[in-house]
Amino acid sequence: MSKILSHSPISLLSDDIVLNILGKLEADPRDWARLSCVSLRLSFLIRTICFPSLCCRSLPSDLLPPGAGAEGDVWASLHKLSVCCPGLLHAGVLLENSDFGLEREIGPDHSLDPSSSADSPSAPPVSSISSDPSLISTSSQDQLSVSSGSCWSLFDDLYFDTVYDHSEAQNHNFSAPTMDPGGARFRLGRGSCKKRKKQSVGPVDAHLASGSWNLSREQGNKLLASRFRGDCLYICNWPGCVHAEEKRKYMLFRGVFKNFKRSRVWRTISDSNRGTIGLDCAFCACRETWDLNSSFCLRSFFGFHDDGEPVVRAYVCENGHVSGAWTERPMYA
Amino acid sequence: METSTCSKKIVQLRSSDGQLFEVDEEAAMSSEILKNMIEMGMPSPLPLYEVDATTLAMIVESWNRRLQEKRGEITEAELERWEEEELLKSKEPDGDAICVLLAANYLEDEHLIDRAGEAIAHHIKDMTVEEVRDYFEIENDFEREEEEKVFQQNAWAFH
Repeated sequence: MSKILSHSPISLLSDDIVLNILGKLEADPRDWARLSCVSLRLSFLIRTICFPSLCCRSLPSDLLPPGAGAEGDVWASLHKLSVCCPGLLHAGVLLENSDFGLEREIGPDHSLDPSSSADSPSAPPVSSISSDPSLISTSSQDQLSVSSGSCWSLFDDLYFDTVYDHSEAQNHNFSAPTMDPGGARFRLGRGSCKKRKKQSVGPVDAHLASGSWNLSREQGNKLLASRFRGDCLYICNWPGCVHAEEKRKYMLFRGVFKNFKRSRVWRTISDSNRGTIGLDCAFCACRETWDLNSSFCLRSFFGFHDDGEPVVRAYVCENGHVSGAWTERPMYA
Repeated sequence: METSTCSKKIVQLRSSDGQLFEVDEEAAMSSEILKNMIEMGMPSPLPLYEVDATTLAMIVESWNRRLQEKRGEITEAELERWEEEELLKSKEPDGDAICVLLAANYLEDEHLIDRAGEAIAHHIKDMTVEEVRDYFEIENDFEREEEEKVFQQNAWAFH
C-alpha cells in the first residue's frame, strides 16, 4: 500500500481522531506519560484533555481543580499522584533518621561526639546561614538567632501540642534534648538531609504504583493526628506500593490535601516556621518538603523501630502533595 | 447514477489517481460522505479526491466483508481477524493503519476510524519516544528546557 503524503500524517488528523487513539491507551498510565514527551501537540492534548477526563472519572470530586481553567500542570500532577508511587527516595526512606530527625531540628549533639565538627560539609558554617536571610527563621516562637547564640527548643513544640491535645503529646518516646549553649544550628533547605548509602532491592525513583490507584480520605484520616481530623487528606488505599527491602517491608503511599493552604497542618508547619528538607516532591516542581513526623502531625502511637526508624513517615510539599511509607509496627512497641 | 445487477445496486467510485471501483451501494453506505453523495443523487463515478487506488481497494474489501458479516455469511470473529491481520496488519509496525485511518477519516467511516485507531494505539504502545516520532513522521518541537522539564516529570514512566 502506498505511503501517505509528504507531510506528517498526524498533522492531517483532527484532534478528535488523535484523542480517539489516545483514549485507547488509557489503561496503562505510562503510555500517556511517555507520549507526552513526543511532541507539543500530544503533550497539550494529554495534559488538557486526557488527564482531566480521567481524573474527573476516577478521583474524588474534592480533589478536582475548581473551574474550567486549571492549567495542564495541575492535572498532570493530580494524575501522576493517583498512579505513581513516589519511590523509596521521595518517600524519605533513604533519609538518615537514626536520630528520629532531631538533628535536623536542634542541630547535632556535640556532647556525644567530640569529633564532630561544626564545619562538617553537611552543615553550612554559621556565617553563611546568617548571611542568607531566607535560611534564618524569623518566627518569634522559634527565637532563632544564630548570631545571638539563642536556640529553638523542642520543648516549644511539645508545649504547643500539649495545649492542643494533651493525649497526643504523652507518648513521645524520645528523651529531652541537651541544650547547646553554643547555639543550635538549623540545617535548612537543600542539602540538609543526609541520604543513607543503602542498598535497595526495589526501585528508588518514582514508578508506576502497584495496587490500587484510588485515593480515599478514610486512609488519610488514619495517618493524621486527631487534632487534624478536620483536614482533608486523601491517600491511596492500603497497603500502597509494597517494597520488600532487606531490613523491612515498606508500604509506600502518596496522597494530597484538599485546600492545603487552608488546612490545620499547613497552619501548624508555617506558624511554627518549620524548616523544610531538601527532598523533592515526586509530583510537582517543589524542591523541598516538610516532615510531617517531626512536625507532630502524624498519629503519635505509630512510634519507632529499635533502630530509630519511624514506623510511619510522611512528607508534604507546599502544594499539599504527600509521599510517605508505612512499615509494620514492631510487635512489642 | 447507479447500475443494477440482479437485485443489487452498484455504485462506481473513482480514486484520487483515476482508478474506477464498483461497490455494492449498501456497502458504500458505510461511508457517511458516500451516503450523502448517493442520497443527493450525484452522478457516477463518485470522486474520492484523497484516497488512492491501493488504499481504496482495501477499504472497499473491508466494506464488502462487513456486509457479509451483517448478512451472516461470515462471523464477527472472522471479520475482526481479517481486519487485524490483512487490513491493518496490526502486528506489523510498518503496517498500513495510518493510511487506512486517513482514508477512513476522509470517508467518515466511524467503524474503520475506530479499528484503525486501535491498531495505531497497539503499535505505539510500547514504542520509545523516538520511535513514535518516526512512526508519525513528526519532529521534536520542544524547546530544550521544555523537553527537559517534560522528561523529568514523566521519567517514572520509563522505568
